[in-house]
Amino acid sequence: MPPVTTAHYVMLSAILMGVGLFGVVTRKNAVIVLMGLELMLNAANLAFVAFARHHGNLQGHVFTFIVIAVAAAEAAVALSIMIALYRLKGSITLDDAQELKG
Amino acid sequence: MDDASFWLGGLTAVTGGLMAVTRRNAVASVMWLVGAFLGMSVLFLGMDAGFIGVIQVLVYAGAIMVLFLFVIMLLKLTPAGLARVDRPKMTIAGILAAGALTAILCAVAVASPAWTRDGTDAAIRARTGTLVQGRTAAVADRLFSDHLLPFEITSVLLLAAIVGSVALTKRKV
Repeated sequence: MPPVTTAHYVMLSAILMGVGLFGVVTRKNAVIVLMGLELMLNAANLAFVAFARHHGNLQGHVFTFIVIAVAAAEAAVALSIMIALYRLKGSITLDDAQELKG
Repeated sequence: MDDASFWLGGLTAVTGGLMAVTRRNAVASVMWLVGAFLGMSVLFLGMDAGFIGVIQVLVYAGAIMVLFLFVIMLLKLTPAGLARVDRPKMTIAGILAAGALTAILCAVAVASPAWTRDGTDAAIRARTGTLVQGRTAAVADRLFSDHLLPFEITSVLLLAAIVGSVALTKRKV
């Protein structure tokens, strides 16, 4: 088996991004859509850290730290939107929230 | 790049992620996603990113996933009648979109000699003179010098998120 290179980490990051995208596109439950988004953010983090190692500096680690903080803020706001949606509609199925679809 | 941690962590992360987005029960999804995040943490530790690896467990697998669990249990989400993948028509579109994205990114990675030939540990060490160690002190040194402004802005963002979630969930009186 060839040694693990930066390309391996980039490919793994691409696969995780694909899995997250699959979840976002196919699921109807808003909480699971949000989980797919978190998975995509994590795939980006993996690529950041791999590139930091590849280029021999710590910029990627700092980026990842900030992405994690932003993901935490995003999760908190998105979950409170879901609670508000649940109060309004009685479910968090995305098909029930289509008023703006036109 | 530690080979064992790459294959172990990568397999855990991909399996956990796939199971998380296909489970019918949202609580089971959260549990699989925690497994996926632990696998990601192993990947970070394998790349000597100790600080990020620990933050991954504390913030993602700990705080964010507990928040997900709280909300799921608060909302009484019964999985009644939900198909495993909720939109049968969208499954094809999902597989196509995800497959195309993954294939394009993988093709770029394989075709790039800078990442394959020059991406081994030995080549990185020869080129940059070092293999970075993402210890807390080293990351903090970068964070509080070159990247101080983004760090401070992040604190404002977190404050906005706190105020926003309280405002969104507060019952109107």
